[in-house]
Amino acid sequence: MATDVAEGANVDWGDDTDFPSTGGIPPQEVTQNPDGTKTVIDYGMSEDGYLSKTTSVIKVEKVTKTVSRAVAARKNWNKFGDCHGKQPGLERGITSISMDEISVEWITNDEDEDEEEEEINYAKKARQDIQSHLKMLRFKKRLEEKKLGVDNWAQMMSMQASANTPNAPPAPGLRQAESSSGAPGKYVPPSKRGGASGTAGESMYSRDDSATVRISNVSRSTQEADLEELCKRFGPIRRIFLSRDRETGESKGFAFVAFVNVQDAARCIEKLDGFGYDHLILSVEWSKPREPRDGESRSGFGR
Amino acid sequence: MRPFLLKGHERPITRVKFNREGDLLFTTSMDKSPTCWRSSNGERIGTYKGHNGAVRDIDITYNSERVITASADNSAMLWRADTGEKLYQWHFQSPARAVCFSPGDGLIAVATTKLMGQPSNIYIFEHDMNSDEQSEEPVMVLEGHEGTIVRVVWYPTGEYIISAAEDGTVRKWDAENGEEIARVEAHENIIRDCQFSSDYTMFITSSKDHTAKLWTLHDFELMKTYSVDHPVNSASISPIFSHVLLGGGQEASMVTTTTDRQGKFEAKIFHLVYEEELGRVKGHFGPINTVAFSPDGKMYVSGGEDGYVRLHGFDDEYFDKGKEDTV
Repeated sequence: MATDVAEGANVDWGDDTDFPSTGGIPPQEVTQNPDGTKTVIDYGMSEDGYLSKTTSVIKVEKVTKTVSRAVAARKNWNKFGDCHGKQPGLERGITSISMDEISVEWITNDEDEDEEEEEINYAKKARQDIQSHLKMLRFKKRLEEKKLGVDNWAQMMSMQASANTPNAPPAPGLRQAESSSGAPGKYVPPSKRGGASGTAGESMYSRDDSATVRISNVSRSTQEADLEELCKRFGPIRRIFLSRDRETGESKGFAFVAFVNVQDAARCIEKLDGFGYDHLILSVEWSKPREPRDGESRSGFGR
Repeated sequence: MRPFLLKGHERPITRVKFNREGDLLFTTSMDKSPTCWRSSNGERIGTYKGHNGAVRDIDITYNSERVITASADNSAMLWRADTGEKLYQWHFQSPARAVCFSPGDGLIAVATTKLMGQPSNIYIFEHDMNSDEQSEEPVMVLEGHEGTIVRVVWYPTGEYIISAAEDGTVRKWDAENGEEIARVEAHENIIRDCQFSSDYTMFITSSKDHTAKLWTLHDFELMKTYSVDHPVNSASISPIFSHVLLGGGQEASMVTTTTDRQGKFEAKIFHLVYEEELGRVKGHFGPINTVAFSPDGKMYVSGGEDGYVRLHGFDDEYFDKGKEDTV
């Protein structure tokens, strides 16, 4: 609130920073404002010779307190030691008031906020994973188109890529011939070998979340093994992910359990939701709102 | 509430202490200047210039006229509180670690550090309130602690002296003849602090073994244990509520290796009776070395390894909560 400085004079704001270099440091200016506050303008000289101007608006409030005589006498102590001779009152740079309001953070049992944040972070990370994954697929597809039939590695990659992208245009010629008959001398991945069923099977890149449940309100001491113990009775489990703090390795209180079968997952939700585990009550739900979309439905937490 | 940040020290804070009425705050630091502050607004009143080493402890007379400090320059110094004038200096063979006036201010206890082959002893001197000149010879020497004594406190009646040391023991000495009367193996690791409750019925010890323990004063009976997941450097008992304030954090030598989130540098409020953590207060960038409630219980002060002293006033919510917690 540098208000009263340029009052009256028609001074450009840009000129305001350039003080006349004549003389030393201008004296302190104190202006009384109509609303009861004081504007104090201090000038100072920095080490490299620049004049500095500090404008502060001060509100003085009188608080009357009754104190003992000894305490009252101590109010009149002069400053000594390092601050000998200084004016009574706060010293700039020595005493400051925190910029932030800091109050006691009371510990309550609901950690919803925290959890929500984690969830958002998790979704963000999942999205990133998917994006990089799609990029990889695209790259492989390009590779496939370029190098088709040139060498074994490219063929292998291209085949995997095409298995992962159902909507990819069928590659011409060579690959089809190979996958159906298994031409001698060429590498054929196990899933494509004679006798294997038509589908490509589980690729290491794709992630099917239709049978994944989210378990929240898990106690901090619960480990992956405990969750496995808890969930395996419902059916075979593909993957368990217990969210942990990146730095401390402490559990964050929620986990994802991916079942092989959707029915098992449904049964797990039915049985475990509201189940008291350790000292907490578990909350179990599907890991995402399901909104099947073409092309993305395979790759997970599309949100 | 927005706390006052007192940045008068250049090195880690070692002790914060209020005078009896709570209008003055005294802080010591690893730098050489113990400092006196006004607790109502955080104004610096003065520094006590003269020590040539880190200052570890400070005590104030009943009438706040004199101050004594213990320093690593192998001496304890007596000062005029209001002018910072140095009155007298006692010399020792090793750094002075803890100081304390007796009730009535007629005696002074100074504990020394176990270092350079010197044992950690408590030296008792006579203190003449009316004279600047003091006697150089101790009237008594209390010997026995195997580790450095970190805190000496006189019994409110003046009969006994309580000392807490890095050997994990708290001992009670007869102030008449210097004999050890009682001893308790209080902690498995070194003790960092020992503070009395305002009514002198209990005291609380803080230790590197991640606990603070509450003891009765008259027979050293363990009443409560407050466990946290970091070393406790200091603990203070609220004079008005059933609250205990714990300050600590990951060790100073480890601080730079991790983020502050892992350091656990918050001050924690525990329930005195239920041993439950009620809340915490953030602020310091390093471990908290020392905490103290003001005598009226309306604020607390913490000094950290980061060199800051933070003066926190409590807000209305705290008092509402405190009244609920206190029976």
